[in-house]
Amino acid sequence: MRVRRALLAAGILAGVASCGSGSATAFQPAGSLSSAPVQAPLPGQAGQRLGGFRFPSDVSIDFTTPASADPARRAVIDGYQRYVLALWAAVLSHGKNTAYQQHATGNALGFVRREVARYGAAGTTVKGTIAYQDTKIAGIYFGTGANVLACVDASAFHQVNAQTGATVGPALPTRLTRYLENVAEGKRSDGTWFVSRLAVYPASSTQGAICR
Amino acid sequence: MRTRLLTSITVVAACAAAAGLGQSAPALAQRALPAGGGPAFSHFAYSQVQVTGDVNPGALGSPTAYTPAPCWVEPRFTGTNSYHNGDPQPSATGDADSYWWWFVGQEPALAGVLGRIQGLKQAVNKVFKARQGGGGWWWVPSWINAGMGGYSCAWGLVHMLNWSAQYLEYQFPQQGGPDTPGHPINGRILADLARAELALPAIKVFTSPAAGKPSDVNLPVWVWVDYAGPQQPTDTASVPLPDGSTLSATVTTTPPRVSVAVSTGSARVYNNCGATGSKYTGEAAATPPCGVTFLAPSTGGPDTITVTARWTVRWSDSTGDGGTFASPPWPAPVQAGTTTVTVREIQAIN
Repeated sequence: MRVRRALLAAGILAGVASCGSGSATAFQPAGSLSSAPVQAPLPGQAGQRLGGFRFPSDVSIDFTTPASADPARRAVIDGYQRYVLALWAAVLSHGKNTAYQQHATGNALGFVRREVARYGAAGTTVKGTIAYQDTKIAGIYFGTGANVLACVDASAFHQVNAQTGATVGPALPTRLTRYLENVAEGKRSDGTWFVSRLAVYPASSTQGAICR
Repeated sequence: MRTRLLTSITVVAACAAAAGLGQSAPALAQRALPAGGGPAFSHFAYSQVQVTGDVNPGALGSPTAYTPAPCWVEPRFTGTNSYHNGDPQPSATGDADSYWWWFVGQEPALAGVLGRIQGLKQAVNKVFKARQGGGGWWWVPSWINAGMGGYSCAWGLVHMLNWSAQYLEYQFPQQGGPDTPGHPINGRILADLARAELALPAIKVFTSPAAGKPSDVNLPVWVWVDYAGPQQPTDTASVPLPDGSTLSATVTTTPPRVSVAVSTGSARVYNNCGATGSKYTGEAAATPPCGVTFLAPSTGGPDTITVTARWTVRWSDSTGDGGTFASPPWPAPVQAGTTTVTVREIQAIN
């Protein structure tokens, strides 16, 4: 019997992947395909829930790079932006919003989980604006792998006391006030993309210098 | 029976995925530096490629350097390293079986549920057990382990190639195509890796009159260089092949050619510099083979002398193929250094 026939994984993956992407609770952030800056949904705006979660009005997640006219490239960027929104939805909900599980794997999933753990206690949350700028696709490989770069400005994004709103410190570790985010993405069988690996380089480092 | 098992696994996996069960994947394997034997370096993941010689270990990780094909396919695990009792082990470095489990852990829908899929372990084990002890090799994607490009490339590669074992192939894999990176390792890929890591020696510029001392109009300035390393650097990238042989590509350089340029048009430049320029011979009035005579005094600050060493870089592999490296995309194989000199007008003495 041939290995191909014996190995069940292809079928397994196809089945499970389709389950994940076709789930009724699929994460659907609004505006992430728009060429205009994308902001997290505001309270009271119908249809901008993220799996039952609404971004608070004092949180803004900005994507400032115009969308590509090429649908294939736009889909790659959309996969990245969905990951970002899912990350902050998870943080703001103290882990209750689990949409990130559909948009991140590998060490990107670990990154989300670490941030969720940092904000695990209900006493702290984030407030302000985090901007994802100069987002570009460094490469699309064989149509199913992609490398995306973005400069992240978290200088106006803060960790705050959830009760008083008083600033406790930066939302991310201090070295990540401004940094280069480099992600690897993979394509699902349904054509959507997810983030599989992630690396961050402070703007002060050699690798992150393009984000100074 | 097999269909029922597949259905059962799929359903369990789907349910587990919906429940959001967690399990972290094994860490990415990193090759250890080889012990001893001179400079050797590996910036590659899941790769047996070694680059030895006059190498610059940081070159491939540099955000400003040109990166060749970021991924490729190479033989990694022997048939005797297909499966071991107790597999899958939580290690990505051990054998073909472990490699499969590492890579499948990157699949988003499975990252958190692999351990809960009933029967999956047995099914996968069966595949690799069947090859245990065989005479062939498992071919796997390998990639440059700097940034995300290499990993992205490898991900795209394995999902495009449709291998019999998904992330591995026991037979020699199909080509990726002429315009795409990631095809099976060959001399050209090895040559690119060797070229990317080749360390051209920095140069230090010397002049007479020495730097910091003024020169005079119509007085020749002699120019020569020292190299902080071999004048003709060379390195070799190699990978073991399943038949016991080694495929390698060696990058060689010609002797450098030094040239001089100055920041002013009021100068006569001598560019018969050879590889090292011309040290001052003690004859102040002689014309140097390599140097410059300034014809006018410096204005607005000292004049700059730029010295460039230029090599021609070639490659050849163990099969007899060879060639050069086009620039661009490759950076020009040059090193440059500068020095400044303040040129004075000779004052007449009455």
